[in-house]
Amino acid sequence: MTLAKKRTGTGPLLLLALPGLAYLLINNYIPMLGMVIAFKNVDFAKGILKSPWAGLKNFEFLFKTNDAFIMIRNTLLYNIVFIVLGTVCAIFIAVLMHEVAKRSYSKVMQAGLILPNLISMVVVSYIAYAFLSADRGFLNETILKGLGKESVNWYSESKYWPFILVIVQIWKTAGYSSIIYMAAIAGMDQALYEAARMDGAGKLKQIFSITLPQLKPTVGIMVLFAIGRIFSSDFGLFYQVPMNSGALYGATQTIDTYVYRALMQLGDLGMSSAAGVFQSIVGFALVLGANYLVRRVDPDSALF
Amino acid sequence: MRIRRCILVALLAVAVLLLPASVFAAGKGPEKVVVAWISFNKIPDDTSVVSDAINKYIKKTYPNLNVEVEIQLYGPADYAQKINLALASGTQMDIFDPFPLGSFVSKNQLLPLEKLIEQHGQGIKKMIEKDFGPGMLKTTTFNGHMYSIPVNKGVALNFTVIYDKDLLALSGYTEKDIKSIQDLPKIFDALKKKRPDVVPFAPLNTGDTVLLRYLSNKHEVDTLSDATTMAGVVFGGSGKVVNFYESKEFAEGVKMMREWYTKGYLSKDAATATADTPGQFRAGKLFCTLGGYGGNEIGVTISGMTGKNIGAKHLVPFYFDSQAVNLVTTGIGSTTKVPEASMKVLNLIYTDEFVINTMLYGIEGRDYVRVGAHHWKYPDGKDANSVPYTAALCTGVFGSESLQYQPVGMNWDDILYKLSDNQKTKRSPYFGFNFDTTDFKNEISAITNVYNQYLPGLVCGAVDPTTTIPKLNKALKDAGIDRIIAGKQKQLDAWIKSSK
Repeated sequence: MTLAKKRTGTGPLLLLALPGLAYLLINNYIPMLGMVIAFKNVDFAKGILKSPWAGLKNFEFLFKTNDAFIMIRNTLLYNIVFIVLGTVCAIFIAVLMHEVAKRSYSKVMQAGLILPNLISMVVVSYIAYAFLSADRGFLNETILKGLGKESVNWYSESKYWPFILVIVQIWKTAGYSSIIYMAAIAGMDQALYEAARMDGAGKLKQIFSITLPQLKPTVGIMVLFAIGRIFSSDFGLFYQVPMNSGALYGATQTIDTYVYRALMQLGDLGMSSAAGVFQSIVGFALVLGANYLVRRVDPDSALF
Repeated sequence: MRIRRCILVALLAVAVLLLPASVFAAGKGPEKVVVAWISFNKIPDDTSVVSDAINKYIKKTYPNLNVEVEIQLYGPADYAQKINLALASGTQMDIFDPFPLGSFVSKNQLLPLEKLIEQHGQGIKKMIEKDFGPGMLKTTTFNGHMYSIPVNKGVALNFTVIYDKDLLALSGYTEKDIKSIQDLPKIFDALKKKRPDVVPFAPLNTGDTVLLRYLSNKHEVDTLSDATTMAGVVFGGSGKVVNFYESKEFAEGVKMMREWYTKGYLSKDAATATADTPGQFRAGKLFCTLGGYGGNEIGVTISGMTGKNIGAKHLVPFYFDSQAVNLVTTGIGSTTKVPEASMKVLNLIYTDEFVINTMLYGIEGRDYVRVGAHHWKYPDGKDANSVPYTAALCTGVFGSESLQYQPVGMNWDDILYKLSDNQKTKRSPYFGFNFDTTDFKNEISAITNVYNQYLPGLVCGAVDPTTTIPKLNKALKDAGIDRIIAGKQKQLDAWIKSSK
């Protein structure tokens, strides 16, 4: 009796979830079988499954040179900066936007904030080029000249690029990622704010004591998502925006660009899969680790 | 009830789709060969009309061949991907352009052709012997197996200066004054005084002044299957594999470019700005560029493209090593089910005038009209974009150039000149040697990265060579260039021994 009841209870729900589960299975899980390519010496005449095993040989090129250190350092540090600064900026924008009282005005502002996110990185790279070009760029020709300073050859001086890349990335993504925080703030209980006002709390006090603490779970989830991708990088940002300039590799080389540049000529399936597998596995481990930490500090903010 | 019938119909449909294709092909009909070309033209919506025309012709002219073709055209952006995908998934893909050849060979994506060509490809051998001379097929031979056939055309790309004739006149010099690359700076100086808004020199490709090609032609360097990164090369007939980037020839070359750069002959952005020399010529803002070109007509071609009066002059003759010849080739996929039929088709592609020109220009009368024995043009009122089919920009990609019609206005003698250049051009003593990269993938990928990091700045003069060359060589050592040099030396020694 109870068994039958249980079945009727979950059956329709399972049925409802079926399309979603099927999608996950087909789109996300079945392709994971492709991971096998990373451990194979692919021979097209024999097919992937019958190709000889290569052990960990395909992974070697990732760690063989000092480039390994540079690209892993760059990938990690940029992503950490992007996560921290990106989150701060997004929350800042969301809090400010929430305080914009006039609806029509806030609608226009929102559209403007999201716009950079819709621009392709290739176009962004040329917007940056308009600023940074050595001969005709806005910075060299207008600002530095105006200040009476020497012009800078931006595309061959790697020391400026950590800042340029962070500025470009924040400019492009902060508006878009603030949406989720705006939604979270809009969903907060207005009674809390009324009560605070009654007690004489000012705007700043309200923001720090009500809005921000309530955003904590959202921040936790968003950061966890971001950490899962900490070993990946936006290829467009690191390849297109520096115009693939060799002199900047010290500051712009990430795992993705390295793999692209290294394998463009070889076109080796096994080695490129190995890079992908490496990124995913480390990302997966980091998500588990970060989630474990979050759960210990604040169980409500943890993802699982 | 109705639902059940629907399901039944759906199942039937699936079943029909899943039926092996062989069930339908079981008859004694001709064997179908899929031929995939890279096309730089607009990709036509429908290539079947052209395939049908060729098949009708084959049936009539060669009734015993019993083959038919299916032509597929892909743009340069997705060609490699389409080929790789077809080979990986088992979709029929028989004849294609494997590039880069070495990597296709090491992944076993190509069928060895040495036996097939004896049975069904004698025409190719004769044709290549006539147009290129002996030994061309050695350049596509790895470990005794011939994996593809080089496109049969004028492959000698002499190092050439391309310049704006009107600006040259303005500088007060004439074509006679340009005898070598060292004669250019004085012209640049004179021109800069008269027209400071004109850039004297711009790299042909982004971040690549073609300096390495100049040096390797001038000093007769065999790049041993690595024309791009030149890791491990041989100078002349010395037989000794060395690091090109430690040579004094390289140091002198980049020093010269550094001078050019500091004197303002190149734009400050030269190492990174996207190259667009035709656009710069068209705007009248560029005096010259350097590059490797075959024949004598390139000035005329670029004049036509830019509407300017452009001249060209060879400065250094080309030097044949294996990779200079096997850069563009045609091969048969290792997954093919119809190897013999594929070779028969390949034979036609290299030897049959109708087949080659139909693949290139489409249906006569509809897509192109013939003018005289060797020339063609678009039908009246049509152009490359309005005819249903054309691959007119792909003349250098397949078949035999000496059978291809040329656009009206092109001097036919130039083709003959290019073919005679094939015979004349000096060959490396190691012509025919191919480096087997299988055990060196890690080093090659690391060196490719080092190359991308340092070379654009060096060959464009944007960085100081005295400090950068040592850094470059240290990075190359870290990347394992010594292992590649040793490996190349070992394979080269074995090759020399076996070819004696």
